[in-house]
Amino acid sequence: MTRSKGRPLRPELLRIDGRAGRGVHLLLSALAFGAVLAAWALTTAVGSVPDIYLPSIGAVAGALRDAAADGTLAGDLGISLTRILVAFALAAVVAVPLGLLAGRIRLADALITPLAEFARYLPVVAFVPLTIIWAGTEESQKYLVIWIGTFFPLLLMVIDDVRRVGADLVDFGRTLGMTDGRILRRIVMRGALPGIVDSLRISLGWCWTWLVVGELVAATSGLGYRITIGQRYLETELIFAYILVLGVVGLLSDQALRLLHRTLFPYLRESGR
Amino acid sequence: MKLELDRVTKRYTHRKRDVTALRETTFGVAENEFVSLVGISGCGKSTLLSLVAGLHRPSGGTILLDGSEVRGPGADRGVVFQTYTLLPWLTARQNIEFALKETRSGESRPAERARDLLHEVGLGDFTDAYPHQLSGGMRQRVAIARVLAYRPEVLLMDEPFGALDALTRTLMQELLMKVWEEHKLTVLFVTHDINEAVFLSDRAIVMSRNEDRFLTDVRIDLPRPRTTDVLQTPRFRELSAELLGLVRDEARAASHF
Repeated sequence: MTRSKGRPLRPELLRIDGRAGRGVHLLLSALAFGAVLAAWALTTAVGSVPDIYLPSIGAVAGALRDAAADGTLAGDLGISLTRILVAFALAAVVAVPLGLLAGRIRLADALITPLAEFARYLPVVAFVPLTIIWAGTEESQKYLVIWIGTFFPLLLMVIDDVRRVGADLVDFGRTLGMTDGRILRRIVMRGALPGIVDSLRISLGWCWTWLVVGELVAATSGLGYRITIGQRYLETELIFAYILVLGVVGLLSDQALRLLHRTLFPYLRESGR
Repeated sequence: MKLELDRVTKRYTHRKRDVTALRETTFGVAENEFVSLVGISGCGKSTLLSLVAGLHRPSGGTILLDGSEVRGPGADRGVVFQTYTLLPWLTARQNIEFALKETRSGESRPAERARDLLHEVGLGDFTDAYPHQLSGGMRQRVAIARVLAYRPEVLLMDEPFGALDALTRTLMQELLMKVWEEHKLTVLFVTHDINEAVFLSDRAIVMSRNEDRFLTDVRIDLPRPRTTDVLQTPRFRELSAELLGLVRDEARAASHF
């Protein structure tokens, strides 16, 4: 028998730098989802937990079907999506230009960055009563909650994205005789764009959380409002259905922005991968 | 003189201590001359180049280009950086077109000029490739084509082949020689590679931190046009040995041998 030398590598799926095919990856992910659903189904089938705490999958599906059939789901979804898009756009439209300035110009950096770093740690939830005092229960109150929760961290991420554009590219622009403003727009902004789109995608994810925070308290419509109705009438299956809807819609919006990223920035993908 | 440096110095403050990055430096570069700045890391050669490029202001002294004082960066001095500085979101051709547009070169047919120059540096088949699809040597060739495109008065090169493997570096040096002869360029070339300096230059200026012989100007009298064959000649070895002698003592002292 020959003696072996060296420590044998572990299988691809287990080692720290292993690779797995797309099919294997999808299969395993589906298994994880399946396992959670199976555990859920088993628990409700045995009947050890009252329906009010944990409704059956069938009951949740039924609640979802009813909400979809009578148009409540579409209505709630439409209102909530509008709120998210408006508030998110307002956050992005302010955060991106400010971040561009603060990431590159010392004066703007000193004025903006420390303030933003402080503001991001203010608990958004604590602002909800304030937003009601400021804006009542109007739509603007929902925008405000989402905006406060999204703007500051987004701004800080944009600042980071802008700083990551190499100083050598700025120097290159200078040697062409470009003005600082032109370098900022044509080189720094463009160079930071992939990072910024990624930051937008991440902050859009937070928007869904702040949306529900806004809608749980002072709303008469929207996905979060419907959840409070479910609580009021102890329709736990409705709460479950809407939480799942929120998860799915959040995931879809995330995937949509990932797709946008891949489409806009093909040059970031390594060749031959 | 195309380019004249008169007692140029650069000092800055680092952690409350004054640092002299460049002591009084005086020399000139003639039209169509290829001059190398050679020295170990920290001798101030890259600092000097950035001052000529106008990316930083000297603490003292003057830099004249065609008799006018350099006060900032401009397209009359084309810079090739060690890091290539290609814009990753643009193809090779678009990178050149970007430079033509931003330098206001007035080029009537930017796409054609880009294609011609890429062809000249051997990248005729890669005009639509993105930088990440190109090797280091190819990227630097795009950068050279890009700087040639807008016809600067002086070409400033900061260790342009420093990040390339030895074989690619030799090929790039040959290419640069060809391009230099073709385009009649005035070049200031920073390197720490002595053979590179001897092979390329009309003059090599050895920079040292030694106060007595801070600048040593060595004329490289090898015949032109040069090919890699010149590397085998006794005169080449002599000149290399001379430059090495000038740099070695200090390199040894700096690295504590």
